[in-house]
Amino acid sequence: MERRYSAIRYLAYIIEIIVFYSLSSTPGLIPNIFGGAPIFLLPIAITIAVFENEISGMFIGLFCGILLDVCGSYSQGFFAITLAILCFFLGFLSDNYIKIKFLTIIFTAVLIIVVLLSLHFFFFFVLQDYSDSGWFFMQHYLSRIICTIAVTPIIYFLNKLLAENIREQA
Amino acid sequence: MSDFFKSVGFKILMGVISLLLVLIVISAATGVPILANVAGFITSPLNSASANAVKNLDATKKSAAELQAENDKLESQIETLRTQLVDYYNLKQENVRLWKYYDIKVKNPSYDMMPAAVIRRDPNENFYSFTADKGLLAGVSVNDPVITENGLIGWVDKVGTTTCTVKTILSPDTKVGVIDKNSRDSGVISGGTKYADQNKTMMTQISAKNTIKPGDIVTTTGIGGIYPPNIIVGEVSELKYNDFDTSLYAVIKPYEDVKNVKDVVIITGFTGQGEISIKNPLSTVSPTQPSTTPATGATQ
Repeated sequence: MERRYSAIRYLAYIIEIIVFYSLSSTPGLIPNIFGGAPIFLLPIAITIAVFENEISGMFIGLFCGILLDVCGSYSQGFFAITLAILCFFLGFLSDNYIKIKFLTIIFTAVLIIVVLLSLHFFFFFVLQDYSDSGWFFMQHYLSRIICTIAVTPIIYFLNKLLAENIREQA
Repeated sequence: MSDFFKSVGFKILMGVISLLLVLIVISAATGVPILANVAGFITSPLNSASANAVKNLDATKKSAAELQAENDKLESQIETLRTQLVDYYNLKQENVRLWKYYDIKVKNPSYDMMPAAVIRRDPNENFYSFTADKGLLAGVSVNDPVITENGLIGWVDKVGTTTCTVKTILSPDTKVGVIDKNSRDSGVISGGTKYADQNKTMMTQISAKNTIKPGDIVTTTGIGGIYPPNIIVGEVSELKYNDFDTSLYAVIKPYEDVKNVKDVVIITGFTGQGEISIKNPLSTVSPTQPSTTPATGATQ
């Protein structure tokens, strides 16, 4: 019975990921807010990983990362690798060490989003030797980070709803 | 702690990361985006469908007075008509799109062109690159120029089986040899970080003795065999000096809204593609003779 619930839950996650991926990558659908748009798949991967074990979290992170890499014109694999590793450790930590509380998860998500997007900026802008990197970070990446953080609570509650309700009740 | 590193989960993680690294290295070495190709099969149809959305469907009401059999028949007819209506709108859009490029084809019969639609834009993208719905199966190659009826907008950076990633002329990675049609001054188009958001690009490597002025039209030179000659890039907006090295550059405003373009044409072949037409007395490479058949996959 638990297997059946797990299968339905993961199917719901996958549908959620694909829907948000389509929404964010469809041209003209989500407007730019002060030069940036939210990257939905980041908080989705993070918030699903905290409700699942480390292996499931890793594969969810991997799937979200691959979709993010497919979209872009940059080198393949950045988000796939980083999200797979981060979601693995998030799943491990939430299973064994940390309690799943709203503020804890939001704080963790904010930290991960800031670090990931800063790394993305460093690897795919600064190391590419483009000019005006400071200006560009403030103009684009900062708004991207803020928009992504802004949608994180909604996505957290959505995934909490899925994780807690599509599960065999004890 | 050591138990963690010996756990099955950690070993699986290491295996997955190793596989990813191998795929990334192979993709980088061969130029074939393996992950994108695999994911593209799943996501491209969805992206195409969502990009071609959305019409209001007329809500149909069943009449309470009609018999069930007549209702079923009418529903079936409505379904057929809806499908035909969707096909009609798709064909109408395609017709409009193809008429736009008929004019280009008439003026440039040597071009092999492939109309394409923009199906995906990355929210992480810095310089408005996009994904178009044509790939290797449609004959698209890396470095193929991408245009609209208003001029050059970019080049094919990566090609998958059914899609390709296009880098725009707003990107600093773009290097296009251009010429000012008025003053005959040449330069190189390369995007600037501060101009991309304004839908503008930069013409650099301009001679100090240039006579470029705002309003001049800039077109491709065709030198290098990457872009066909005389494709409009845009018009000169202003002339400025670089803050760091005091070199002169011109700000070019493309006639096309590169940031929001929806339909494009990929030039998959043209006369002179792949040829190097500059004669340099110091060069050890002898200039090639013009060939009758266009080469494909020229490197930038």
